Amino acid sequence: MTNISKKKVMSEKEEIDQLEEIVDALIPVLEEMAALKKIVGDKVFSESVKKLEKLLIRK
Amino acid sequence: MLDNYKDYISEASKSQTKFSKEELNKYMDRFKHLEGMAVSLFGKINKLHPKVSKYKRANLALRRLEEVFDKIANIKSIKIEGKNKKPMKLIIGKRYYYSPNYVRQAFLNYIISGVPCTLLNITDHVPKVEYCDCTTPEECTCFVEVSTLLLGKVRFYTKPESLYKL
Repeated sequence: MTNISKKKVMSEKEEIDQLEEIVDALIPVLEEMAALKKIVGDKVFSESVKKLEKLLIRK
Repeated sequence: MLDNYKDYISEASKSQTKFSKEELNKYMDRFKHLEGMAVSLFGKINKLHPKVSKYKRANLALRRLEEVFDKIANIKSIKIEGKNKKPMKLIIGKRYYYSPNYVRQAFLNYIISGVPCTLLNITDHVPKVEYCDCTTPEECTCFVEVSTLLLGKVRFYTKPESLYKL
């Protein structure tokens, strides 16, 4: 018999909680990136923003 | 894409001269580390099971930004000028239905300006926005789409009866 691991299916509430946690973690990261903008320069910064833009909430 | 780390440092040197090379390296390392964290977190948002609709995800994320901004700045409304020179307003703490694309734009505004903003073109003919508890605009019969506003991505909804007041 094959050993198939069942992936836990989350409820909508669990998923929303997880989303909240992710956004909680994301905000200070974005804030610090914004604070470093002047140091790293516009080109570096805008490249980074473009990269993130491609990733965010696409589906 | 700036794949070469030296390019990053070189760009940083051009834009800021008061830091030593070691300091710049340190900041660039930190920035790249943060970028990696943001990429990973954005990826996690996208990987959430579609039980939570894209609209719900988008709106939740945006609302959290609004809460944070409210906490930090304690500002409810700021008038700024848009690209087309029309007056625009930054509105905090209300619930609207945004397309995920618009939320992406709001995140970008936040990263770029440090201000998580919801830009709406405030004109006399646009009725005041109200809200309901429906999850998506598609399933919502309480609201109708009024117009597509700034950035070409914001869909603006209001109660059907509000339109009669126009």
